Amino acid sequence: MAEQNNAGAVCPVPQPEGWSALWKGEDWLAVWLGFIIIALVLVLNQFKVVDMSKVTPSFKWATDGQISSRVAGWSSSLDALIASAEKAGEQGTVVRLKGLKDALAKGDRKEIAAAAERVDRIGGVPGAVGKEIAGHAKAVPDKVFTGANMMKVFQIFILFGVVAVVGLYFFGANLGKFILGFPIVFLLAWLSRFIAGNASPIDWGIEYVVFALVTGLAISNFFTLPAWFMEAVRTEYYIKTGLVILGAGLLFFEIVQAGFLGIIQAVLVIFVVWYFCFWLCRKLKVDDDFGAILSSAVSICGVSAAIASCGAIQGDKKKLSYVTSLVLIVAVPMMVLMPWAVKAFNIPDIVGGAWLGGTLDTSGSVVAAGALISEAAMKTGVIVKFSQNALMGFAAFGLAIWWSFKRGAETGEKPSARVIWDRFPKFVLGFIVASAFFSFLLHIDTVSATKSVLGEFRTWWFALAFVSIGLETRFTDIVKMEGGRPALAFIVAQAFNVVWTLLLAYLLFGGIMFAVPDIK
Amino acid sequence: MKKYLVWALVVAVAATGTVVFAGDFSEPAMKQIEELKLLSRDKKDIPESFAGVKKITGDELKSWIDQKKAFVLLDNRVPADFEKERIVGAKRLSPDDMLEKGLKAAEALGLKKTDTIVNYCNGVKCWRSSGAMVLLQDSGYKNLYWYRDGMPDWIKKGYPTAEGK
Repeated sequence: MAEQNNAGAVCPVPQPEGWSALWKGEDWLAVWLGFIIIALVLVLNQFKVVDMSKVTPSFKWATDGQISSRVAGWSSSLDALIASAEKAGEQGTVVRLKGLKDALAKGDRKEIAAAAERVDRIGGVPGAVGKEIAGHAKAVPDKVFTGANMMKVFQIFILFGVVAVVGLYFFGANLGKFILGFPIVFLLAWLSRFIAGNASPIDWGIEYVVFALVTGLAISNFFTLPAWFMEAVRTEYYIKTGLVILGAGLLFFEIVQAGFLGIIQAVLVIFVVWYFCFWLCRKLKVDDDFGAILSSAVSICGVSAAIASCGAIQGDKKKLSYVTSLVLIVAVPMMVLMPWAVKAFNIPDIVGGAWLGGTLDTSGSVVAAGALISEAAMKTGVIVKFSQNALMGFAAFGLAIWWSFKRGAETGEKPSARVIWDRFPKFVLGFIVASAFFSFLLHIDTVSATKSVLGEFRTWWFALAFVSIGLETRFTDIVKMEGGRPALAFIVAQAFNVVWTLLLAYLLFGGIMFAVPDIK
Repeated sequence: MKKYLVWALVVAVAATGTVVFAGDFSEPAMKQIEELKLLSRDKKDIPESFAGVKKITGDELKSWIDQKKAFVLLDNRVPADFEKERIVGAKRLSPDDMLEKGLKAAEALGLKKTDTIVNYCNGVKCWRSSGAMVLLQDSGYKNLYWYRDGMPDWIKKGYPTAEGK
């Protein structure tokens, strides 16, 4: 995260990274954290220390009132199923569906659950309806609060706390403050998952992502948060660790397929959008330094690109911190509206994912928005985002060369190709290694046995990150600087970016120029 | 930090060699099992037929049971599925058991190589019935029948089932 408000200070030229970056850099730490968690899961599974099917806590709950309000709707869909089963002459199916209908009429949750499970076993369409009803009927609110279930949450809390502290120790953070603040962030993450587990949000399709963001935003915009607490609000740290773990859930060829298209899209997005934004900044009389930072933020990847380009042109740190909050604030409406648009206009999931990955400026918001569409959309979005991130070093390099010509070499960074590696997001390597390891080296039984646990852990890291995004975003910051002109330029350019990238995503990922990548 | 790296490497090596009782079964059979598992992971249909295996429909199986024909009915699923609901009279033998304990798992049920054996699991996307047959065939069991549509089909037809251990 960028340091805040060092008025007048100049953005640092990136120092060549030594080997110490391996244990001091945030990116590398996220890689190690992700690997430690993956390794731990593999070891515990291998030696059967922990039954991996019993690690995931349950968040699903429905009140009796919510069940009875759904009975009418369920009964009528059962009627339709009964009619078609009678037509097909499936006697067994008819008997079970009628049994479930009777149980619904009586209203006893246990009976409903038992009858619905009998329907679930039919499979196909009736099976899916049975499964849904059984899920709701079994989800008595008390179940979330049973000792066993709370214990599962607590164990994850301890594991994550310990792992995060180890990482931050190397990072050099204030551990005392972190240990004070972390339980609160974790509690907020739990709360958002708990709310999302209710029957109504499930029916409306609203995920924990939204509740995590809203909880965080509500708190940060209505209260002044103490500094010790902010030590535990670490969006980048949480999201990167989660993303390394996500790598384990992606087949390597999926990454190669979507990554190839992602790089083509990224090059086209970066060139066109960067230049458009820079041109717009000049029209709006925003100075060139500011324009360059803004343009990089819009076109490449928000905060980290802004930091990189600010270093490359030795810009003002205050402008950087302004752009940082701008990026975070603009992302919030985008990551709710874009998934909505994808669903409303029936945009294919893969195209939608590529669109999000190409336009949203932080990895966290790509994951959040993707998760609101589907798993395939999230994965595509992440791969496309990573392709774009990987190009950041090249952009910083190009920018540094241009600026040193512009300033007549009086000041400025001496352009060096090394910046390409220095600015490369290292956690992407962790993501790729995790994927390769799970795709090529691990036995398939191990992969399937650990899949759901790793998915659960990844979700927890993401939930922590989304809460943190909310906590870091303050709406009042946006209006303060230069009469809002840079903000206007940023928003207009972002709108252009959204349209242009959607076009590219359709051409590249929609099966028009290339085959649609096969991502599940 | 180096320590972690070494540790991660150790884990990696340990995790790749999953415990599999491969001794009792041939290399090609083991390879076929892997392929079936991959199909199931990717939620794809299991092939329509296997060489040397006869197919049987739900109606035929029902009439075999009604006629009290001499045959063994094997439920090839995991214990939880078996206990929830199974075809009346089925015994449980999954390929997982055979891979873990070897042929002993089949012998413990008193299966003889000359027996007529019907296999089923959870339908066309379930690898376990075909997996069990691959291993049984590999061990010399010849009279194998496959009820490919399995449990969901049996339930749809409303034929008798049993629950519990």
